[in-house]
Amino acid sequence: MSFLNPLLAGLGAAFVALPIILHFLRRKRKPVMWGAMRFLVEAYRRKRRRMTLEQLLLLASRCLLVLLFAFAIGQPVLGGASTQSGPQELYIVLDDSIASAANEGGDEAFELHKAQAIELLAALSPEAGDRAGLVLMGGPARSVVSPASSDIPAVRRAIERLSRTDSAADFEGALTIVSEAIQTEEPNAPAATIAVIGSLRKGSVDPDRPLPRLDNLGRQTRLVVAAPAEAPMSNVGIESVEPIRSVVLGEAERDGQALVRVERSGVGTGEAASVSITLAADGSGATSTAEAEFEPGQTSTEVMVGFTMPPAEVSAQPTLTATLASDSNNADNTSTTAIDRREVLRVGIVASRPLIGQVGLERFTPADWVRLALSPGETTGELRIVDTTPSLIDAPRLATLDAVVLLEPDELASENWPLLRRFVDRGGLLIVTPPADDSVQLWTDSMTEALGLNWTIAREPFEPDVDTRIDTETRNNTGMLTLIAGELDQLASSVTFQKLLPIESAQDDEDDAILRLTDGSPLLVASHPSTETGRVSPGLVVYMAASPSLSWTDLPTRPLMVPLVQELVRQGVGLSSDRAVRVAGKADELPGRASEILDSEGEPAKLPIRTAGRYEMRDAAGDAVGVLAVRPDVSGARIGVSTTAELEPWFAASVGGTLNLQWLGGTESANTTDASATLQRADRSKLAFWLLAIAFAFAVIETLLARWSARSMELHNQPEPSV
Amino acid sequence: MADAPSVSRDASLYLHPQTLARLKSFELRAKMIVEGVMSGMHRSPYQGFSVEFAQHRPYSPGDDIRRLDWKVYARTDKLQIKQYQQETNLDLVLMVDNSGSMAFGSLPFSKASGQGSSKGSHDRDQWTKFDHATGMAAAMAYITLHQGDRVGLVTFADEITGMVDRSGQRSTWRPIVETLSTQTLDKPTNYGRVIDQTLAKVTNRCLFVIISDLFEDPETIRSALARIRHRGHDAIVFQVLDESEQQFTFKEPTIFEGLEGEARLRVNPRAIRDGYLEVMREHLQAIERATLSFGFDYQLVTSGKWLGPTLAKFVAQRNAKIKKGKMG
Repeated sequence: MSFLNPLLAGLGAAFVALPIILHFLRRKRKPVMWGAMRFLVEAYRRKRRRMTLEQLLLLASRCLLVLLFAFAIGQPVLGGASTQSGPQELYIVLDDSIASAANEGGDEAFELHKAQAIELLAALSPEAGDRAGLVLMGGPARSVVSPASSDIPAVRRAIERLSRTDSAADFEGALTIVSEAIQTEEPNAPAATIAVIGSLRKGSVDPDRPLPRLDNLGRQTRLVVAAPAEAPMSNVGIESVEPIRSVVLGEAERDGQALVRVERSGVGTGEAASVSITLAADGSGATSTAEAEFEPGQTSTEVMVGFTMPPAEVSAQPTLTATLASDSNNADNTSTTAIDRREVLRVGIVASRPLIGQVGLERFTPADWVRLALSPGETTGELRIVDTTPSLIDAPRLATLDAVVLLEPDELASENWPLLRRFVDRGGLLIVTPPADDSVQLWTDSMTEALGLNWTIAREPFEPDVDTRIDTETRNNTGMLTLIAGELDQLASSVTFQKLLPIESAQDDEDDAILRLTDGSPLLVASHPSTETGRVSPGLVVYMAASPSLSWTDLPTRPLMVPLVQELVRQGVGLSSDRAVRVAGKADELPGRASEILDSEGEPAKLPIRTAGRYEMRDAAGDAVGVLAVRPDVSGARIGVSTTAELEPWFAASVGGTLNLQWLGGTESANTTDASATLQRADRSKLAFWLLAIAFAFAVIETLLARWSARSMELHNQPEPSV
Repeated sequence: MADAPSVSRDASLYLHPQTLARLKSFELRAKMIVEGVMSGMHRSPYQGFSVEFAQHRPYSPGDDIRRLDWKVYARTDKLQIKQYQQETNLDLVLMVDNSGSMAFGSLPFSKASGQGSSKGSHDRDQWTKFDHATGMAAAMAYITLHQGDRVGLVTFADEITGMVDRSGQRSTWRPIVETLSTQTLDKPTNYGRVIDQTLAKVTNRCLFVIISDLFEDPETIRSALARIRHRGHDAIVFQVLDESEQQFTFKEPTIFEGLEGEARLRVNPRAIRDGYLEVMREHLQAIERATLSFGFDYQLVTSGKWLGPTLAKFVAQRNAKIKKGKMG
């Protein structure tokens, strides 16, 4: 039971103390000098037990009387605010996420949800002043009708026109929108009913994340939740498709490989399974198929699938599409990604030029080694090296580059670091190494500060143990060295180090390190700089703790040098550039080069994009600048079943207890109702009436008790003696 | 001791002319024959030179020949001695209780005294049981003295607190009233001790008039009355109670504090009234039974009621019983 006027009820209940206080106040009366005390004492001795009992009964009946009156004026309602007598305000929170694409009994769940929402609307009456609002749960949650409108038919039409999204459910966001809509300081605001309609499968709910509070919004709030779907199903979805070579240069590379990650959920995850994945690049006319294998208990796996690049003239910016066979939820059976195809990569090597020509290996500068590594043979024309000096760095020059290798950071003027920061923020790759000389390094603070990196780099080089080698066991999975991972053990084993300028501490040390040394210190570290606003820059900064100089390491003369530098640059550019791939519901920012997005029908798409697929990017001039691939959020399509017992504490915490929570349909919980009964009007005064009736009965009992205690007194009607 | 005018004023306070006027036509007679030194209206157990013939008896040697009935001898030739009922005066001993419980009263003094005074003795606003007892004692002393009988006074609580020796002079009424008006009301009662002390001071047979609320164990009262009876005295017991003590008309929860030093007690009168009245009724019945069992007279007196009718009714009933006993 709850109260529509809890303040009045509480205030009234506080008056229960009144009879008790009066009881004690009376003790302070002036005593009466009495002669016949012996008879009084004797009578008291004889009747003490009965009198005590009568007094307690009398006190209890008086307290109960006050309490019942308090409850009556508080306008009680049973089962939370389930019954209302005034206008009703209904907010429908509809699950249009990818989870609602599940096949529930032959129909898509979303259509069932819409029908359930329309059924709820039918119980409202515009004539009675009822209002309805509509909020959609597909992430990020959005309001369609909010605040609530009295135009109920319009809300119904809005529901009928709705299409499902491919994003994960945003429960928290949806309820936040509703809470902001129903928040009021109006004293007599009608009670609000929030109806959550969805299948509540595992992909939609996360009981570990608390929902916003709905019980402190200035009005009575009730949460009516559609009972979770009970049908056990299994689902497999494509989490991602990533080409191994993140940047494809020119026409030379016709065959590629892509890593397809697959996730499964629901029943049967304890058993081994395999799913067939078909991959095709648009315009190539060729498809490839591979089997993704799940071990028993394994819920995610990956498989490498080959593909053929289409000719540039057929598709300048091709996309890759992976497809699964039909299952319980088809929305996550297709995933698309864009291939970054470029004609040329421009790499700037920033180092001061020697005054004399180079003779002999011992005279090779780090810039010479890097240049040699980037173009070991004849120049292909696809990877162009631009030599520059630290003092010549300026914004126009940087704007033409895809990557910058900074070999003498100590020579860089402090005002030029922000230029590099802007270069990185545009999606550029910056590779930094210590300068070859072993002087005290004063540039490190300027770099980390300007680039927003949480690294602390040593100020002086140190000499590691002679047997320090590259630790190939602990390299991470950033993807930068994926293509040489197989040969890395062999290539790295012979590299030795004489000097190092390591990173002493990094906030995300484990995630950032690409390669470590056997002493545990990182050799190669990569990180996306963060901005003051907390956003992460698309560009990438790679730091190598050893200068590519023979005075620091023999790496430049080892076989690892060429593939390492090549991969760092090519994969680094691919990972650092703002890739045109987004996840549905999380595509709230366009790649830097695009100012407009068109969907498959040529209509401008609004951000954030919630529907998976292939979108065309246009720049400010209206020219096509590539393809944006939006893939479904497979995490929202997990099809496991939740129970009301699991979810009840989660919802109840949001509305201040289970009294304000009702389940719509279902059989698992006792506190269930159906759609029509949910909004059924009831005369709340009935309960108050019965409470008043009981209070009246107690008043009669109290009077009888009081008279019974002094039954012969009233017969004589004697005045009180003036003693 | 108060001066004469104040005593007179106090006396008139208790002896309202209406009270005395109603009692004047009655003669106060003792039911039993009491010993007296003065010849009067009361029969004496000592037959002798009295004027009222009682009976004849055969002459025995040694008898006073002056008491031979010569007329009988002439008619019957038998020697008969005339016996006469000796007429004596009545010794009345008024015993007035001035214990703490007698200080209780619920009626305003002005309403009960009939004189419009706002305060009585002891500066009390209420007409106390002691006020009523004092009025009764004064009235009875006045009547008795005007009959020519002797009156004495004993006031008592846990012991004798005041005493006026028996005297037949009408001026005795003044020290009686004076003694009554100067008693304090703050001690408990001890009937056993008081009766013993009083009986030790009385050598001849008397009529004891006990005016008290008798808030004592009935057995103690019975024991005290038994000693009076044992010594051959007669007694009249006036039990004086306030009306609220008989009705217990309190309504609101009240703290009661005893007038004789008893502990406080907080009760709801509505709840306890029945029990109280039952205990009170049992007590009154026990006292009455004890009194009547010794042949004494008992009268319950309500302190709020007018003195005159109560005393007149009692004296009338008593005289009727005496006459009936004589005729029989």
